[in-house]
Amino acid sequence: MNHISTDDLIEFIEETLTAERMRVVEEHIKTCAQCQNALAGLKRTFDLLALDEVPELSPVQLGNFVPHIRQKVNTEPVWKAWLPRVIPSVGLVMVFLLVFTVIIRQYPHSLPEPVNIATIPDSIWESYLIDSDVFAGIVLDTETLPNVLTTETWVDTTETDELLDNVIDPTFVQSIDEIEFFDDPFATFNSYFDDLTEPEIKLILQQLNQHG
Amino acid sequence: MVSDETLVSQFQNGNEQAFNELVNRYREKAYQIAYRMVRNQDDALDLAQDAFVRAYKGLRNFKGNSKFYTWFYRIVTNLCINFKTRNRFKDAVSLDNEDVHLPLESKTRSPLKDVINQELKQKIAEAIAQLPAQQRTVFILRYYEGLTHQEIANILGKSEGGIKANYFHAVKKLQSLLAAYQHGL
Repeated sequence: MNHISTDDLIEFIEETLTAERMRVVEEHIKTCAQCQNALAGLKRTFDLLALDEVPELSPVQLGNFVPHIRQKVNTEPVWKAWLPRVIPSVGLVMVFLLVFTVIIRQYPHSLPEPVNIATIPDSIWESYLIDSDVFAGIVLDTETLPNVLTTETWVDTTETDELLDNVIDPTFVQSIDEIEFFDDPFATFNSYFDDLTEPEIKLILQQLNQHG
Repeated sequence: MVSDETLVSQFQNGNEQAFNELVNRYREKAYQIAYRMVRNQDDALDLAQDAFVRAYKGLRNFKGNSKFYTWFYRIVTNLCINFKTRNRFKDAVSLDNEDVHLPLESKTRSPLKDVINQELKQKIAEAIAQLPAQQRTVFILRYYEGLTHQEIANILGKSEGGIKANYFHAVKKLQSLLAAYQHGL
């Protein structure tokens, strides 16, 4: 015998079943002790819950109801009314920025494999040194450059920019450990070193070597 | 009696008295829902009034796509749920101190019966408070306010089937939580 579900018994008590379903449930309950017990248990629960009462508002509270609302309407600061509208927009912008930052930080990993500077043929270094005005007078010895100074060991151009800005701060150079991508070390060396004095360039190279 | 829609329309056309009429019409309902949600008379009164303040500010943009009471009850329930969320810690430590209302007739009962009655009400309040927020809201609107599942679905912006499921879960959970007290009736 299929018993009546609790859901149907609840609807039976509340008389929200269809007329046909009400009749079926009623007929079943007449002959099924298990469903009779289940129905009685539910009715006792509803009877218990009916005991829960809400304290009535006093005449004074009722009388002050509208005036208090008017008072709140008139004294509530304008920003409070706008805040609920502004918060979702600010939240959306923050989520967008967060997602954007995460994507930007992950992007370099999808770039081509890094190139080890030590594997670059001497002829290329030489041509670079000869063509570059900024390196005139400086001997850039590839043997002394650390092998770790690969394209992977460079940050993006923003961080390179910071490196140059902080040339007098030796600890800053440590941050090149975080360098992940450097598209064309030669071009960028050239580009960024253009505005530096010879001692500054020497200092950078010195620090890079020390770091290696 | 003037319909809610007419009062809303009058208010939108500058008749402030129409808003007062809406307040008088729904203040007790708002308070009762709020009380059952937060179980504290002062908080419930504040929340009911705050709901009307929100309604006052939002009513000028109310398009009438839903019934006024559906829209207004949504404000009340949202305010109460937010209030409960903000005061979760307070709730956890102070449930014993919350209002437990005794009916007037209890004055004529025996002291022992009053104590039992008070304990029973406390247990009912605790059982309802243990329901998850949405089940509690659905149960209060359905059982105590007598709204249909469809009306509650409109208020909470959910499907009627989902609301029914919430209600049935709530009743079953309450039955289980109050099982020990059912024979004391």
